[in-house]
This record gives sequence, C-alpha cells and structure tokens, in this order.
Amino acid sequence: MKVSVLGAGPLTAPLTQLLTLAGSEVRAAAPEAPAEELAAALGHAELVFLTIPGPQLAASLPGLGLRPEHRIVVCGRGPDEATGLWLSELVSLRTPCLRVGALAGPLSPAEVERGSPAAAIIASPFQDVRVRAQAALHSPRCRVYTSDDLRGVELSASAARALTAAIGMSDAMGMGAGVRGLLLSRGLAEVRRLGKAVGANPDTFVGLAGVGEVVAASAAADDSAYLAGRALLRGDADPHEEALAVTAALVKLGERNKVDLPLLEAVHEVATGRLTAKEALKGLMERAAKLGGE
Amino acid sequence: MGFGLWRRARYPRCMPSVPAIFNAPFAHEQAEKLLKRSRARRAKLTDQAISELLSDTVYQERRRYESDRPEPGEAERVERAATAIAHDDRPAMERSLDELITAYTEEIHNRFSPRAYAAATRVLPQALTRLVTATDPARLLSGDFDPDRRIVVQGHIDMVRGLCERGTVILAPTHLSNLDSPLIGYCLFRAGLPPFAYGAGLNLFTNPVMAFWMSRLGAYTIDRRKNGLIYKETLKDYSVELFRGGFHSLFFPGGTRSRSGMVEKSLKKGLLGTGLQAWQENLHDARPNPDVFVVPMTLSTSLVLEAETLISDALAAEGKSRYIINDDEFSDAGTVFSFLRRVLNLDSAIYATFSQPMDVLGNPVNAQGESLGPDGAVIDRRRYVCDASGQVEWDEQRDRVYTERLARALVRAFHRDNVALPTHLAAMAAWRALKRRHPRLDTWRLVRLGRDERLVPKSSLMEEITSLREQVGRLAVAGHIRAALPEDADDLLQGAISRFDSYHTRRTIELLEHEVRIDPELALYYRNRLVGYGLDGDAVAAEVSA
Repeated sequence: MKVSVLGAGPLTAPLTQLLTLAGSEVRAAAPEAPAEELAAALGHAELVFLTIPGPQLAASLPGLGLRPEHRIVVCGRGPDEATGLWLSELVSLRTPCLRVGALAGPLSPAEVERGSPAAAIIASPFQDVRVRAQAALHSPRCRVYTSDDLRGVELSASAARALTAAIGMSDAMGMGAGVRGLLLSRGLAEVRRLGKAVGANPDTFVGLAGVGEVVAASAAADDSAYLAGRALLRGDADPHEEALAVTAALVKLGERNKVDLPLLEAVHEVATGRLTAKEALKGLMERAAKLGGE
Repeated sequence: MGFGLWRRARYPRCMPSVPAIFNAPFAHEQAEKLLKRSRARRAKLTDQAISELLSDTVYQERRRYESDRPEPGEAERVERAATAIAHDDRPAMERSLDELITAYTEEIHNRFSPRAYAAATRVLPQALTRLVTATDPARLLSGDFDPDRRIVVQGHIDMVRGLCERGTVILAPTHLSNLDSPLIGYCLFRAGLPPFAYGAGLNLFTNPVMAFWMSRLGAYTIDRRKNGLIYKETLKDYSVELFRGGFHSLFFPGGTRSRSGMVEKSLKKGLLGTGLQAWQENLHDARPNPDVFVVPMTLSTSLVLEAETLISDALAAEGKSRYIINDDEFSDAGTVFSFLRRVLNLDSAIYATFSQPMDVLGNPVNAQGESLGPDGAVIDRRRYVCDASGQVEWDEQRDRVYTERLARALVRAFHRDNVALPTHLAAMAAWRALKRRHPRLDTWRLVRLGRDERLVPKSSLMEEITSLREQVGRLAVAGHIRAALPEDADDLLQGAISRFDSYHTRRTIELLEHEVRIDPELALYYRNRLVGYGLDGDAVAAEVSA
C-alpha cells in the first residue's frame, strides 16, 4: 500500500520502520519541507499518517496540501488546547479530508528500534480507514487492532500521556509502587467519567490506547511524557511538551463537561506553577474519604 | 369586492416555470424501477435472509393491524407472505416481496399535476389575503395587507434558484407544525423556485379533498406506522428515484414535528442518505447533471398552532410521546383558520430562512454548485467517493458516516439560522423567573405548579428579559443565531404577550399589577426554541459549537 508519513515527531521513525516492515511503500516528509517535497510525499498516497505532535498540528495543517481523497491517521495527542477540538476533528474541520482516524498504543521508539514486538490500535468511524491502516501496518512485528470508538481512543491516548507524566512526577518524588497503582486506578476512574461525558466508550481506556500505553510509557525511562513528569518536580518542565499541553486541554474539557478530574487537575496545577508537586500530592491525599470506587 | 382590487395586490410576483421533469411517471413505471432495485439487492441474499426480511414485515404489519384497520387487500397480501415463509418457498417469497413493493409504491407515489400547481399558486396569495382581512374588511379596502411583512422569506434564495438549474435540490426544513408544508410551498412560490416533491405523513391525507390537492401539489405519502424493513427500503428507493429523475424534493429530516419546540438536534438518517446514493448512481452512470444539493431551511414562527398538544405530548407522564398525533389542533379546520388569520395579522410573525446550500456530504457549495473546503477553496467532491480512475467505490458504511456528517451540518445550519422572536425570548425569561422562584424544582414539577405558585415578580421577569436580550444580541453578532427582537424590554414583553394572547386561550404570560402569572407548559414550549445556545444553563449542543 502507498503510504505517506508527515511529521517530525518521536513516532515518525518507528512508524516508518514498522510500515516498511509490513510491506507498505512509504514516503516521509517533515511538515516544514518545501511544497514540492510534500506534494511528492502525498502524491502517491492513499493513506497519510500525521505524526505531528498535537500542540503543533493546528499550525501545520494549512501547509500540508491534503486533499479529499486522502485517508488520514492522526498520531498526535489532543485535544488542541486553543480550540478544544480533538485532533481528528481538527483535521476534518480544517482540511478537505473527511475520512480520518487515529493511531494509539504502546509504540516505544526505542523498543521498535531494538526490534521488539509492538502493538497499536487504529480507530476511525470509517471501516475503510481502519482496514487500510491495519493492512498498511500489521506485520509479525506489529499487531494492529481496530476500533470504531475514535473519541474513546483519542481520549485514552491523551489521558495516558497525562497519567504517565503523573507517574513520572511521583517516581521523581521517590514514591513507591503503591502510589503508581493509585495513580493508574484513580486515573482510570477519571478517564471513564470523562469518556462517558464526551460520548466515548468508557471501556476503551482499559485497552491498548489507555492502560496499554500508560504501562509501557511509565516503564520506559526515555518516554517524553514520563520525562516531562520528572521535570515537573525539578521545576524545569516545558509546558508546551505534548503531555502537559494535553493535560491542560483535558482539564478544560472536564470543566466544560462538569466532570471532576482531581488527578489531572493536580498535574496541571503543578505544570502551571500554581502548586508544587508535594502540595499537589498532599491535596490529593487529603481529599475527603469516599464511599464506593467511582 | 371587485376583481380589480385583487389584481392590485402584488401577487403573484413571479410564477416559476414548472420543469418538464415534473411530468411524473405513472405509478407502475415507478414500481418497476423500485422492483428492479429490490431484486438486485435480494439476488445477493440467501433464502434465510429473504425469509427474515419478509418475516419482519409480516410481524410489523400484523402488529399494526392490532390498532389500525388494514386497507382492503392489505392483510391478505401479508398473509400470503406468511404462507410463503412457512413453506420456505423462495419463488413464492419473491412474489410476495414484489407484491408488497408494488402496493407500497402505489401508496407512496406522487401524482404531481402541473395544472393543479399552477391553479393553486394563482389562488393561494389571494386566499391568504382574504383569510387575513376577513377580520377587518376595511383593511382589504385600504389594501395595506402585505404578506411579505407577515412571512419573511430570506437567505440564500438566489443561490438555491441557480442550483435548481444545475442539479437536484433537497430542501431540509425544521418542523414544528402541520402547517409547515403549505407554508413552505408558499415560500417556494414567493422565492420563484420550482415546485418540490415532498414526503407528507399519511395522516395528512385522511381528508379526501386535502389528499387530492396535496398529492397533485407534489406530496408523496409516508406512513410512519409502517415499520417493516421492506416499506422503509421502498420509501428510500422511491426517494433515490425521485432525485435520479431530477425532482427537487423536500423532506423534514427530523422525521416529525418537534414535540418540545426545540430546534432539531437529532435527525433521521435514512431518507437523508438517499441524496448521496442518488448522486453516486448519477456519477456511475455518467449522467449530465449528476449533482444533488441539500438546502437547510429554518422556520421560525412566533406562534405554533399545535403548541399546547405538542408540549403536553412531550411531557406525557409515561415519557413516551406519540409519533403520530391525529387529534391535535390541526384536525379542527376552524382552529386552523382562526390560527392562520390571527398569525398572519401579526407583523413578521413567520421567518423562513434558506441556509447556505451544501453538497450531500455537508460541504458548503458556491453559486456554481462547486463544493468548498474549510479554507473556501473549491474541492473535487467526487474524490470522496471515487477512486483515482474516477470510478465510484461503493461503500455503504462510509456513506452512513458521511450522512451523519451531513446531519450535523444541517443541525448547525438550523441553529445558526433560527430566528429568535419576542415570544421565544419572553418565554425563556418567564421560565427562568419561574425557576428562580422555585430553584429546587425540576422541569416536571415546574409544569405542575398550582395557580398561585406560578406568580413571579414582574421585576424578576424584566431582569431576565434584559439579560437574555443582551445575550441573544451577542450570539446574533457572532453569527450563532438570528434575532428579530425589539431593543426595549417593555416593548419586547408587550409584543410577546399580544402575540400569545392573539391565539392561545391559556395566558402564557399574564401581567398583573406587580406580578406576572406564567403558564409553565407554554412558557417551556416557546422557550425551548432557544435551547442549545447555552442561554438557560443548557449545554451548547456539540453540533452547534463545532
């Protein structure tokens, strides 16, 4: 299958590698590449993977030259902080492309480079996009699952980045496995609540896009979200880093939908300098006791 | 009354030519086309699948007969189908399917008559004038009745007229009242547009005189009591054939009148998707004018004939509203005429807005009928459904998602072009004032308040009107809604009350010395027209905010 990979994010190299391994004919280009180069990369493609990180996607879209015939798979994490739109929505509202999906899952660049098996999930309301993207990427090296719950997969993948940052922060504070378990399980409860509110399947977070990605990313010392979490404790985190930008966008989404997200809000408070990591943890632990799991 | 007076009236301003395509084929020709479609589909089906398809219809029809007496021959057809299923006899099942489809087509079919249309369009403006001035013959003599001030037809009219020449147009209006169909027919005529075929509920055909005229003015029949798959497929096939034949068509995408009074947020996708189907078939056959366009139309009226029945139905204790209502205000001719006379006596009581036309995927189109991308550049819409060589790639699942997108685009247009009128705003203010007085009560309890509990301070109502007037003004400036509201809060309230009192026997808002008594049901109904904009603590509909 003829595929384009547009972007210069951390997923560009591993994705290109896995697509090639699966037998796809891949052409890659950076979004800031000259127009002729972009046109050449797009010209032959029936499927386009956008590996541009979420915070840069809105600015990059107008210059890409996407056309109605392209099927798009978004690999960044949203929602877009400025508009609150999911990245797939951003593509379908800002470009002529309607057939849009998203890729998520534990695709660690270092592990792909080492040759370890990988897995991913492709979500789209269009079966055509799911089938083509799966055919382009699926191989003995990479298992690819599909889902029609695009909103759920985008939400899960974004929340996974935010929770990985929270775990990075807690690890940097020297907290133990118990706190990791607490963060993962309470994070799961928050995302399920948010998922219900925005029309996603709350169970999607339990799959590859959510729990699968958190477990993998928080175990990889070089994961960007995990490192961003560690940097929060040091006070030198870049607020534009994807995981932190996504956390801010999810907190806004929670406010709009009147969903209580204490854990994500705590990470956001630390990222914006309103609380220290210790104050945030103390605040979470001192919340009134609750009956029931949710 | 001299004929000269009628001639002095400015009607008809324009008499659109009736296109040749409206020489509708006879029912049996139409049935042949639909049978061909059905046979092509069922050729791929197993005996089991055919049996299930037929069984569904047998079950649904038998169920229907429990409450509705079948027409002569109907029950026998269904029982023949049941026998064929019982004998597992494929040829007999196929014959039964053909028989059902032929009968359904005969029932649905539009017998449009250009002569009847021409006669009706000549008579209608005069009839309207006569109806309105009947209360005050002096006004007729003074010739000051101007229907253009009563029924404001606005929006992308010129573009729609041009698109009617370039392809087939589907008009998709909001739906509040059974009077919407004739109202839209009048608006089409006033806009100089050709006649449209339209789907009308079978209940509207119960009066033989109405049935004769409706059918000949372009109405085809939709029987919402028929829930069988075969009927639904036949109806969709009929719609595709209409579009393929170049018949401009109108159907209400909400399926039925909005019970709550809200602007439609959820649309029926079945018929809506037939435009996309027809367009692709036209492309496949390389027809000369293959394009199908969709035009959202928003009807905004100060008063609604059936308001009292509809809101009662929406609030029905069992929570299950009746899909078909046969005993509402529309069924009483006296009430209808009284309503029309009163409403048409009000200035700017009715707004019919033609929204930005779009393609069958929900993209806006320009005057040339070309689709526009998000940046306003022309895009080749065929690439959404064709492969690189230009051949149509058939994909029903993809088309369902495209149709959902079209539905969202329609909902956005409905909200954007909804016109906020004094009755809507005053009703929302009254509802808010009532909620302020009873903050712990939910909707269901508020509508059941006793007479004295419905009193609120007049100052409270005026505060709400002032605040809402400002909010709606801001929304209108931002292009999220249209508004036709007086600046002054007192004028707005007086205007609303005089409109309410001109028709409803129940006082929606009754001014007392220092207090106001509110009819919660009617206030809720008219207030609902402004729901979805975040004005009353309600969430802004996702479709609206996108």
